[in-house]
Amino acid sequence: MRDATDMPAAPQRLPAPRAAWIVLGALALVLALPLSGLLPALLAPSEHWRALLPRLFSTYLKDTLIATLGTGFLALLFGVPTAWLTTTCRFPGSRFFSWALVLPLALPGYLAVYGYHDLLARASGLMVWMRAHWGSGPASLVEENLRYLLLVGILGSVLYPYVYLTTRASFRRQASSLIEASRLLGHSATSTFRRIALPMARPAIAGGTALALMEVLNDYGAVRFFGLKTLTAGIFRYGYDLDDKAAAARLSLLLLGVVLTFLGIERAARGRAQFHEGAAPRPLSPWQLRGPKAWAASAACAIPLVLGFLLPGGRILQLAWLGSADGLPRGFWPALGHTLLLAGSAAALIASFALLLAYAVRLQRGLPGRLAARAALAGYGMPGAVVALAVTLGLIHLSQTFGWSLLSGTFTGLLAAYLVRFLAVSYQPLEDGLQRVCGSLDDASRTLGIGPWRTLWRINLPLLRGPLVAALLLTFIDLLKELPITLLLRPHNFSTLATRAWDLQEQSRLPEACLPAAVIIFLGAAGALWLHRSLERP
Amino acid sequence: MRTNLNRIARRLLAVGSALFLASSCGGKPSPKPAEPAASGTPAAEEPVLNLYTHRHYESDDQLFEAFTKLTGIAIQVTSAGADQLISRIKGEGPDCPADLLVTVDAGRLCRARDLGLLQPVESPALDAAIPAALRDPGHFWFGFTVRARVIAYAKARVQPGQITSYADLADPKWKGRVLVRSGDSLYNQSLVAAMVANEGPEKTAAWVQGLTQNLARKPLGGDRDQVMALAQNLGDVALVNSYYLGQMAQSKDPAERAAFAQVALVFPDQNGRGTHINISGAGVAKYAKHPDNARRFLEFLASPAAQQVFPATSFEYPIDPQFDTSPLHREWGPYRADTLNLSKLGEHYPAAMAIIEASGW
Repeated sequence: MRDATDMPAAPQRLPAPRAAWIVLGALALVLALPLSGLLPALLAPSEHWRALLPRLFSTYLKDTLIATLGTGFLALLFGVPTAWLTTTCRFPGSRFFSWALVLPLALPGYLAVYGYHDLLARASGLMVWMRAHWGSGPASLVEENLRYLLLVGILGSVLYPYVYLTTRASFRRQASSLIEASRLLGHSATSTFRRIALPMARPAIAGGTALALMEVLNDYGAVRFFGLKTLTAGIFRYGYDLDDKAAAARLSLLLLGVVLTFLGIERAARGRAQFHEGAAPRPLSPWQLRGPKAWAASAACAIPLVLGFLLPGGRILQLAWLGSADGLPRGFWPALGHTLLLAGSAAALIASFALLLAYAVRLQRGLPGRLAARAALAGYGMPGAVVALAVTLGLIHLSQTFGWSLLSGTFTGLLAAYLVRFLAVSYQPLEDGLQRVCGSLDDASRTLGIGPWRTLWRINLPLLRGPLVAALLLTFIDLLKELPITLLLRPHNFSTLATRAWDLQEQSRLPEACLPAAVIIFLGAAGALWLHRSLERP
Repeated sequence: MRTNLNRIARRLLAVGSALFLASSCGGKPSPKPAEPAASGTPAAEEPVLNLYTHRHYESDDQLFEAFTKLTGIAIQVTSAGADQLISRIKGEGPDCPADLLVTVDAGRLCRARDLGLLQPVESPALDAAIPAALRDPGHFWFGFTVRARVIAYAKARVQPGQITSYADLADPKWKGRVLVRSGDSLYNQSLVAAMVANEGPEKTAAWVQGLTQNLARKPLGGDRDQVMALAQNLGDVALVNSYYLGQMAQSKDPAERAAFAQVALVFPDQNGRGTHINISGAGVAKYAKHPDNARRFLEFLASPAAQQVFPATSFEYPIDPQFDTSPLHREWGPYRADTLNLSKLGEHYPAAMAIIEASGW
């Protein structure tokens, strides 16, 4: 993620208007809600903590680390070479792969497992053989570990695009200058990759991997499908099934610790080195691969695409076809309407707030502004289950303190949680846009005596149309796929496509569950391709 | 670039508004959210009933529609796991919109009762229709379908009569051959609670120990997955709820229908206490805004019209065998059920949980 503190300071600083403080204050209030709930719960007595403690590291932390590290490794394995090949080489299908490889973004982990649900069943022949030849002990040991392997395989296959996108962007920025220089000096593609491009892309690779890891930590559906006990699964179990919010709050703290550790490693991986990759990429003349090398490159790109999108997506479509034999399942249309309405209005709310915030931070460049920018980005590192738990506790706290009935089963809670978690998604393109698109035009406008908010409306907003659409769309797509928060905080008599798919899957009605899933994937794929296009635009 | 963006934005707007229109035309206008009824006679209640339910069968929607047609009362639903619903009712306190808590397990209803989340309902019609073992003695909850926890076996590898009781599942001769879902499942928890009630904690703990040592694999998936695993030769006997077999027989997934064809079922303990049963049941929430509507709905569920729907659609047993319309149930024949009063499950639940936790099931 981009560091907000890197903003170049304006040559002449105008005083921040009072209104900027109002926006920063609003952000503080939004963040105070979950914190006010979570912090006291950490110290509250917990009924199950004693029983949980022995399994904290041996089960919950272990499963969390296996899932994240395994997925991170696979995402690197899939994401980095494909980014390199599609950026710098020409081979059969290279143009197709350059955009198609982002498609797995449309498949959140909890839907991808639907496509692979019968994989374990298909492996049953192997199980039977192992049991016959090795005895049941070793065979079941293999089977247990096979679950980790499958989960990691599936999550890695759908999450590698985070690595692919950031790495590719980095390669493209380097392309014209250094890579060509390396070629002129006689380095081959492989050697340029290893010695020049890879070290320079390190920050981008680390950033993309960190994003993929956050997604694994956020996942509830896929881990639950394979019966893994990750920290997120533990928050669900203790906080909501066993109603021990104190134990869940402590698990949340541990989970946030894991998040911070990963982010710390990411920082360290970036190192202190600053690479200047050059701003405007000149398209480089690619290496033309031929013969076996070309086919190997095609295969290297095809494997992640097939595993992360075509195979599970195709299987889900096939199941959806079976499931729609007697027409659409009940509740499909209301769920679609709810989803579009909720994701649409929440995206509008979040993007508007992000715009105000980004502008306020631009006006207030001191410590409060920098802190606000950090806080806005921090929410995305918080897994959905933690946000939901914190908001639930915050609302309970509010209603106990003030007697307000702003309860968790209302849209208030849901929107507050969405805002905390997805503010970063909207904030990032807008902050970037304000810097890139608007330059110091607004300073000029304000110097001419036009008020800051009028300036925002008259000068910045028209220029920010692109980033604003990006913010809205990215947030919309993320909300569309969101599961844990919606599952825990949805109001009474309300379901979205994601929760509908979840409910049906929980009842073992997978074919019917695949119908809402297919709609999510379709909309998500459109969004992913659009994102890719906007990133590739010079 | 500007024009490009403009075009994209316009197109998005067009698609968005089209979808929005489609959704607003397609969706039925939902009734207004429930508001507290003005204190007074039940007749003053709004024609709305708010369910918090752990049941989510397609057939339930049919019943909801029939009830609405009959009474004009619209049903609104929040569905989630029973535990989540209970913790939600607890958290929402007096503002909770739920009128009726519907679960698929008596143990959870007992828990809700013990947490003070339910209120008693006096209804001679319910008392008459529902056998005493299937409802709470204090009238806090009522069962309206029966579910039997049976043993399914692979016909190719197990002879009829080879396995007849729950105790057999813990017998070392079935080592590496037993399939069962995780101890997190409330069906297993209730079975263990019933055993504690019938045979005491020591014997039960030994049984759970034996069972977990016989497992063909670490528990994975739900009851259906155990039946699928039988068909795939991953194990020979499985502990499942009977209605899953019926649902698999009618499944849209051909693989499930094929798996069903390869298994047979046995009602355990026919020479002992009888097969462990559980209920799907419901209790009226303490802060229900429409308690009278809730009572009417319960009476509707216990009525012959609704009772005949369950065996035909969800393959659960009705509370009175005379309403059983399912050919599959006829094929399986009558069975003897454990007569333990299900309200006892709540009492033994903590002991059952402790045993399960200790065994790592």
